[in-house]
Amino acid sequence: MNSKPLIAAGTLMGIGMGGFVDGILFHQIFQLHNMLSAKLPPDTLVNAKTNMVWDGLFHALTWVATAISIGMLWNAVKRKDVPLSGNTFFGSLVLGWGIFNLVEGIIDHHILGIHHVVELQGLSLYDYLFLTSGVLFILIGWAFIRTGSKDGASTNVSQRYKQV
Amino acid sequence: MKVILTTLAMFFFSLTSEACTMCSSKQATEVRALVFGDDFYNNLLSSVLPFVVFTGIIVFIYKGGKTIKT
Repeated sequence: MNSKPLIAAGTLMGIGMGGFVDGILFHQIFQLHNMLSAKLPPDTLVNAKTNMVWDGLFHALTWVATAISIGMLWNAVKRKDVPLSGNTFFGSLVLGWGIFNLVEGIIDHHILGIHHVVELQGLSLYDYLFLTSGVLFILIGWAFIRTGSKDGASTNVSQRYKQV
Repeated sequence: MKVILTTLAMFFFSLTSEACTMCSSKQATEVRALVFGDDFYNNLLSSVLPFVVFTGIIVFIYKGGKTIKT
């Protein structure tokens, strides 16, 4: 049995959904930062609208990631050699969210410095908490994936047909 | 029905003339100038770079790494 297609699909879906959490919660609802807010402070209408365009590109990419993950998940559940474990799938989602926070945090917040979690404070404790959340989610996700083999619901599509 | 559609159309066009990214207002022109300015490719690369890394990670999980036996 091979869990990798399910893990890859779940992880990409977690990356996409983690991106949506970031974009919807931090960029739009709380407006703590925008895509280029360290370079282009959104303190004028034109700057805010320019950031909005780049936020839109970011959301478009997260949408594409999520859409591809749906296709990958569809292919995974149709394969006879992929066990359909709820723990593995849930763990993969959490793993993906963690990967999003860690990678996006390291690249955008720390290396490129194009925005920070709380833009008014610049690089702050919140950016390190963001990275920490990424590491925690990765560990939690990985732990769930490891328990996937013990998940009572673990089965593949052919076994499910036999049960019916 | 016609009244509702006309009202919606007027609402839409009145908004786009003020705030849309692609229209010809002064603000929209300034926004386009900033988006497609000297930093366009840097900003594009900055926005896309994390997703390039994500793609590499997913390919590694799918094709590489050791098989996780369940």
